[in-house]
This record gives sequence, structure tokens and C-alpha cells, in this order.
Amino acid sequence: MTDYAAAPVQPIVQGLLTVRGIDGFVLSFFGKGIVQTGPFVPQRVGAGNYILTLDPGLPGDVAIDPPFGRQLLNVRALMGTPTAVVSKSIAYITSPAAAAARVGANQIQINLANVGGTGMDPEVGLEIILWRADAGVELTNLNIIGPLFAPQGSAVP
Amino acid sequence: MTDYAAAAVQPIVQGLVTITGNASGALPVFTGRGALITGGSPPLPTAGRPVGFPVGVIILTLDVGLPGNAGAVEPVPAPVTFPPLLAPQAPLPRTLVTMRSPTAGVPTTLDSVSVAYGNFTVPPTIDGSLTQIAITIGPAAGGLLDPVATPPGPSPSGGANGFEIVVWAGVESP
Repeated sequence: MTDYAAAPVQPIVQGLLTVRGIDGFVLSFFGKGIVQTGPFVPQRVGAGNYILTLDPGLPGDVAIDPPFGRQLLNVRALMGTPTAVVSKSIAYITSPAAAAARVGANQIQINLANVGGTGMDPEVGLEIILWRADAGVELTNLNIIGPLFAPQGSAVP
Repeated sequence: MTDYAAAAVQPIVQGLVTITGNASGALPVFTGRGALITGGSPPLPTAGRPVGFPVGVIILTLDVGLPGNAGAVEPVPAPVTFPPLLAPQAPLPRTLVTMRSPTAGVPTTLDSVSVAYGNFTVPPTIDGSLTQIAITIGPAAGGLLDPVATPPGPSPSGGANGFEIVVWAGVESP
């Protein structure tokens, strides 16, 4: 497949976040790229406020340089009932345990809120995709691997 | 190109959904690949929506004729865990919905956007797979609205001019 992406989308996180309230609130992540066991399991700080830790076991997923983070959050709700979650945002943070290493942001904090600004959980779930926008071939290298007879710069008429 | 994606993005649906004549309640139109607007089979209402479905609810049926898009998404993770209730429904699909401005320079007022996966207007499938995607749209304050410019006319102050949609399966890369 021809690849012409300026910066490809290669997600380091893809998954579905759900909050269930059978006996308290249980935050669950189904997917790839987020730590799901041990002390850094997905944490529900409050309604609509979650901290997720990137999975260090995956290539390209130890941590992320925040300026290059790109994310997509999509609410799942009941069909025909509009979701009350109209504010979705994300922050890139570093956990205290990893601060000494200064490897970048190894956690993300998600905030969901209603029209009044009050935090709230999604009705059914939240789809999460996270990728880094500085991946792929550097433009400075394109000439090396590009078409043989493509213009190579100002020296080529 | 090095591929390190934990789960690749290879869309099975990419398209633009608009409302005929930019008129609320009129026939939705899908322009793109991978989905069919309900209204084909079985025949659905003259208004272009299944009976009982209000404005602000648009249902897309996955196209069975495309590679990687067999017309359904898995209902639960495989293998099914016990108890099955611990597994969310449709854990794999990912959807991006982006409103188009009602007109240049005017922000959309349709801030409540959500999706659901199911068999809303078709019979349940034998294997339980889900063949349709419902997009529910409304203003932040509540209620349902179609993605049309409001008020109707040349100078809308809100609403939207359709929406772009991308659907893919967030499965692990090989």
C-alpha cells in the first residue's frame, strides 16, 4: 500500500474504558497499551476523572513526549439517548514513581464532564486511541529512499 | 516504515453523512465506503429513518462486501470469559465522529455525540455479531437534533453540516 502519510497514525493505545458500579466503581480497560495489573492499574480519581498508565512492555509505548501526543476519545452511550458527556479532555502526566527517570509522560489523565462542567462517567463506555505524531520517516531522509528520479532539491532543475 | 502500532488503524468505514436538503428529519445520505444508510433492506420509512427513530439518531449498516468488513463486529471478546457480563459489548470497534461546521466561521452547537453498536433495525444474527452503528447527536443542553444547520437559511448560527465518520477495528496488529 502506498504510504504518503506526513505522520502516520500508529496507535500505542487502543481500548475501551468502562465504569461499572455494582459494588463501588470499577474502572476497566479492554484493549492494548495500558497497564492493567499491579499498582498502576487504571485509576478512577472521581466521576469522569481517570488516570491510565502507558504499558512499558510495548514498542514505542514506554512514555510519550506530550507535544507529540494525539488522542481520540469517543463516548459510547445508549442508542437514542444523547450523552451528557460533552466535555472531553486529556492531560499527559508523569507518575511520581517515574519522575526520577524523566522519560516523558508515562500516564494520561482523562477528564469527562457535562455541560455544567461537572465530572461524569460515560453512560456505556469510552473508546480511547492514543498515538504519537512524530513517528514515521523523517522528511530529511525522504530523498534517500524516495523515487530515483524525483527532484532532490534546489540543485536539480 | 517501521510499524510499532499496538493496534493498527485500518478503517472499515470512512464517509460523510449529510441530511438531504439540510432539512431536519429528511433522508440521511452516506457518501464514502463501508456503510449503508438504513433504508435499503428491509425497506425503511419514506422519511429515511427506521420507524420510531427520531431526528438526531442515524443508523449505519456495515457493508458486507468489503475486505475486513464482513458486515459485523464481534459482540464480546473471544474467547468469551466467565462471567460474560464482565466483558463489555463490542470491545473492538473504534469510531471517530467529527461535526462539520454549519457554515464557514460558525461553530457547531452539536456537542453531544455518542455511538452504540447493535442490531437496531435488523434481526439478531445467529452468532450474535453486531451489524449496525447508531450515532446519537444533540446539543450540549440535551435533546436530539439532526446534523443540519439551524436555523434553516443562509445565515445559520448553529447546528452542523453533516458529520464525518471513520470506523475501524482496534485489534492487535499482526
